[in-house]
Amino acid sequence: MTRGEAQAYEFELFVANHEVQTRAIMHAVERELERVAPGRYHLTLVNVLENPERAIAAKVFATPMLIRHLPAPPVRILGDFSDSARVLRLLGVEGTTGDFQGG
Amino acid sequence: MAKQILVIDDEQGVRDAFELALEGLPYNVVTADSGEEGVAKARRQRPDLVFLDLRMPGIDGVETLRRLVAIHPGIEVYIITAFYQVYLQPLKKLRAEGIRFQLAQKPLSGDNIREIARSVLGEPGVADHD
Repeated sequence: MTRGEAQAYEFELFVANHEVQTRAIMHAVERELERVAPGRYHLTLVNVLENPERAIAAKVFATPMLIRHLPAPPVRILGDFSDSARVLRLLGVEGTTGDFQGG
Repeated sequence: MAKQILVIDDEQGVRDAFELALEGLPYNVVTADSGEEGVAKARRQRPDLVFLDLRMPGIDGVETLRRLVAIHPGIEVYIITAFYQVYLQPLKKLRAEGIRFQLAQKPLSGDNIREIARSVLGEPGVADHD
């Protein structure tokens, strides 16, 4: 990434099953990403029941887990994502309140 | 009052590993060596978190979870299993029944166990950095 280019983000959200709560989490995270990084993120939902191989490859040890793949290095968050702003701050998303942790 | 964690696994070594991993933390850890015993203990006192082995003699993890949910709707359960399609296939029935659960991949390290407990019973945090 050259100087002046805005940071792009890539995330995967691993869940045990698709349900109302999972969709709510996904939408909450997307809304926050759209607010702080519009057009600069990609968020993929992975159902571990359907795609366990992907979970193994991504080193997911439990659900629900949100992984930031880009910028590297990968960072993983496990648990309640109801406070999506805080979750993205922990993941080092630029524009959320707090220090930027990405590389 | 301390949060209660119930560990249901037929293997003594696994139950010991969970107790060791959670030692010194502000949780009351209760173990059961079968689905039947786990359901009986949960009936006496609702656990705040359950770690449940999937493959056990007697009633398996799927049936155990059905019985736990029947007693305590909304109970927080992590099903512990290898992430292989053949093992996960029976869990799709639970999903079709609308039974909620989370998954954890066997084998779990002590750090993994503590992270799961913290994420359910306390505030989430960064699991790890590569």
